[in-house]
Amino acid sequence: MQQATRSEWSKETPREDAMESGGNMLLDVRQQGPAVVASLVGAVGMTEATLLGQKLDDLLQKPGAVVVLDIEHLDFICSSGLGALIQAQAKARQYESKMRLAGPRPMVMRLLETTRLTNLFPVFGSVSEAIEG
Amino acid sequence: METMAVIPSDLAAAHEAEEALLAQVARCGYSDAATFAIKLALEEGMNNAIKHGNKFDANKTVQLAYDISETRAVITITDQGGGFNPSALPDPTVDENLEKPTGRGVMLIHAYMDEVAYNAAGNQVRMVKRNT
Repeated sequence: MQQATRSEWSKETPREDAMESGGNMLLDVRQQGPAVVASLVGAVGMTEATLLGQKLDDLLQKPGAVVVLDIEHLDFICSSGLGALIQAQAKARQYESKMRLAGPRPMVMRLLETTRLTNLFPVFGSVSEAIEG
Repeated sequence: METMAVIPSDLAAAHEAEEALLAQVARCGYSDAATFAIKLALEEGMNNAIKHGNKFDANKTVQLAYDISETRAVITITDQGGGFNPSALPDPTVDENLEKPTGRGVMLIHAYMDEVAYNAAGNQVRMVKRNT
């Protein structure tokens, strides 16, 4: 449960530590120009989906914020994880902030296309493209 | 040869059983795409069984049976819930349902596996993925 209470997850955090706390996902958050870039690493199953949703909610609460979710190193996401992204997008509208996805691998991109969530999320090839919008 | 595990309605226990199945998939040399499909369908099937079927009831279990060969993976998941009618789920890919939470897992199982069948009670799903 230690992971759930961390204010920031870092790529520097040993992977074993994340596994030990029951998660298989790391989220590294940084400011890059006008955007907040959140790099999602690993896998998002049902266990991790709640944590991801909470963290995105925190990031999107600032009106006008642009949050780029960098998913280049996302290996796997299930429907619960997609549900967390859908909820985050709805929150972004509510908070008048923006969430953009960047750099999905082919298999994750296929998942977004299969579910037609590409109609819901702006998806960009890279973080820099997503920041530019 | 079929392997069978009986798992409590607990996500951590399910994860452990899923890892054992996926290790067998890796040993049989499935493609990255087929492995992703199996992992996705397995996660969705187990989540559905624990969350919607058994409703996280600690007194109920999920049965995970699988037969993984070099040519195909056959996975059967059975819960102890009342079952459901998969054809009654709304289509999550139509515009008005895109933001709704229901039905996406079942849709993904159908999209990624080669064969999917439910028993009459609706508390068991059998899924097949060929290693192509």
